[in-house]
Amino acid sequence: MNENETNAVGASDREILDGVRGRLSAVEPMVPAPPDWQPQASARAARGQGSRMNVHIRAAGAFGFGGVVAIMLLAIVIGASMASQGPRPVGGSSPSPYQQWTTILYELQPVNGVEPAATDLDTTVQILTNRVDSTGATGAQVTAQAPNMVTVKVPGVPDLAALEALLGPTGSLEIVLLPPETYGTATAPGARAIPAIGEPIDPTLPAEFTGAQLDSSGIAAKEDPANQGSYVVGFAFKPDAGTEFATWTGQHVNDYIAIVLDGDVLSVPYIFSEIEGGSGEIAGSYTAESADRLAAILRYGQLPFPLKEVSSAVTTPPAPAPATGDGTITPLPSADALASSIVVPTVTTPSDLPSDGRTLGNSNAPVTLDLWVDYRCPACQDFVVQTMPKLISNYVRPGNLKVAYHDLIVVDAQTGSTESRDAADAADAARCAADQGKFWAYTDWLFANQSPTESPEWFTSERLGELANRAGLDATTFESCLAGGRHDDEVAAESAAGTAAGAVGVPAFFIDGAQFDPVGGSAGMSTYDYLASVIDAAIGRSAPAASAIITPAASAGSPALAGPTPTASPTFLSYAALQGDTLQIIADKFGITLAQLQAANPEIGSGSVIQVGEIVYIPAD
Amino acid sequence: MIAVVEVERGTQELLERVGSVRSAEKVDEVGASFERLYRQRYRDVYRYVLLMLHSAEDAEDVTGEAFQRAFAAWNAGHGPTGGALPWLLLIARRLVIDRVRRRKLLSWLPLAGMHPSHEPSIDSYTSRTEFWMWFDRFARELPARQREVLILRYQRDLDDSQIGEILGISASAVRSLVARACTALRRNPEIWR
Repeated sequence: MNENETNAVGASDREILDGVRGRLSAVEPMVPAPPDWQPQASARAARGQGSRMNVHIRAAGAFGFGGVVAIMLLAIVIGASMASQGPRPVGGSSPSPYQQWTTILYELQPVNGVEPAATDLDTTVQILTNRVDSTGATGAQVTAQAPNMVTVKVPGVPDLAALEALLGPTGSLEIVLLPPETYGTATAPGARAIPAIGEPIDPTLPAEFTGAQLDSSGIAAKEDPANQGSYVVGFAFKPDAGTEFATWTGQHVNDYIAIVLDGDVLSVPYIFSEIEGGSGEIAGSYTAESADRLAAILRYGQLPFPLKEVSSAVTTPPAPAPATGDGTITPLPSADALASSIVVPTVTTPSDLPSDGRTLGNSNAPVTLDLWVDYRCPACQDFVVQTMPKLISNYVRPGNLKVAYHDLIVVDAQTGSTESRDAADAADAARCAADQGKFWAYTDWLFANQSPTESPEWFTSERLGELANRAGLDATTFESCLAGGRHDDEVAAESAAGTAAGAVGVPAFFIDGAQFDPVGGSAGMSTYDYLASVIDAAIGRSAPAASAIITPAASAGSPALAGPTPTASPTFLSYAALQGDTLQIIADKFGITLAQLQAANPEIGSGSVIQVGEIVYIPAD
Repeated sequence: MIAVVEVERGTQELLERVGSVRSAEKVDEVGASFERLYRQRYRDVYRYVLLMLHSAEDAEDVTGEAFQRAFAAWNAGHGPTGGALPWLLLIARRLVIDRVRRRKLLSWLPLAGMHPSHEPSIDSYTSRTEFWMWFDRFARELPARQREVLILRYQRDLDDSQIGEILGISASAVRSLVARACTALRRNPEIWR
């Protein structure tokens, strides 16, 4: 189809392209002039540079108010910076205040077996954003990571414990009546002592009022007028609840009530008289800061699901090397520094599943996912951490799916470095691990230890060797395998086969030989949901959800990929039908004739209905 | 922060005044020439990212990050082997894909539903809204790669083989995507007329 060809409508390609170009030009007023160039002194991806991180790994479930326990503190010093890095202010270095970030990763915890939904994740992001903004910090970023994670990134290095105390609590406020028959009243002691501050409340006691009934604008920390230097948190009910509260307090004069946050008692006042005006105070031994924090937690409402802190990290770019004047280079990090820089994987592949080399799952599984990865690619890491565990538990473990890993070396060539072999070396190392039957453990460690800056020369043989130690490999065998380059050629060959098969990037997903592109094709769905719908369809469980997949599929006879080859045509595209598609519409979409399409899909009769999601093969030109 | 900017601006002016490259050796030749590239190409990279992500805020972010990465690579001696713009766009594209992937995972919104999140000034509001309404339609009609090829074609100075380099495909595959896009658009003349 050349550019001047006209069709029945009468428009040439050139006319169409010029039209689109004209419409696109309306974007120009939105394109600003470049801001001043300010290179980060940090060595993003620069050779020979690393970064320093402090990583805290937290105890599971420790998300109480201020009650986070650090069980491990790894001080990591990786690398030392080398020579001069680009333009620097004349006369010395003054680091930008934005070079340090504190990042905390939270996971939403299911409640009574109910998993958080997408809207809960959004609500959580909103509430955490409000909480972190309440500190006056600017530039903080709260982002959701489906399906159930939230990352909070704050510039600089704030007081981590205070930040966690602000972000971690669910913020479920309850006002609970302590039954006078058990706990007594202010004038007559009861059989049981009233609970102390910080103790968990008896969960059988019902909440009389909750945080949802508070008027958020009425919540504020203030100095206790009766007790200088001590702070209280004032709250006010919404009008209806205020009336109710007044009546209720009138009926319970002298009774004790407990103010409870996330199941723990904050304070236990007794009701002196009917409380009119619907307002009150939470007193305790609050400082100005802790009162502000509690106010912020109450003001922005309760999180839909409790949070568990997964990790927190402070990233600090390296300080510029002190000028030595004689051109000597700061010594390389010692082996100890390397060993202590290793990150322990948070997600690990279960070791009890059937596995054959680099294929996970039952060899008789009806569906095969061919996964092409690059160990340097952050998106691959995302996939392995976020999507794989669900695929494993829902499809691999029941025996419906096997996942075969393949190497597609992409990032080495994309970092502007022609000689970087990082990803290829990592792929070699993974194959050496497979020789020892430890492929899955080793890839877990590889992905967990990706360079935070995608730096080339990160997966050095020292680092790869250290990871092998951690993954429990035999060191001598591993080293000779890696140093001997035993699998170099296989990696290169497989990578070439992946490109030949039409893999468009990493990670690339081929299900039973047809490529699916969750980025380009699955608008509105998570990668997992998308792949799951395709897998479900392949095992005949249900019709897949509607989504456009238009990516080149395996060429016939490709050694790496066993896939359907419906025609003798050397290549074809697979296309998942959308709502309303007919063969004619699909043929038009791809600029081919109905006859060509029918020839490629002999199993689809001309009169038959095309199901949404049904795969239609498109002969490629 | 402000002090840093001022000093750098001063350095740049000094370089320009004394004829940059030759006397730059003492200060930082690499940085100065990269800064020129930055001034020259910032808008091109920004435009691409804006059209891919539909958000001015993200565009600013990603464009900045792309140049930081490019700078690091440049500094480390891994500058572009061919044209500078394809090289920059390749770096930006990886960040865009990353961002889209992340956003897809978390926002549950179709890409075409994204709108610039900044507050536009009143006089530009109508035309911007109109543009994005048009763009949504445009985006809906075309698969992602065909759309991207047309966006890249709109850039000045990129030929089909350079577009292919960015997308990791051949020049003839680029032309075939363009032809397909035209076929799809021919049925919807209101998009291009």
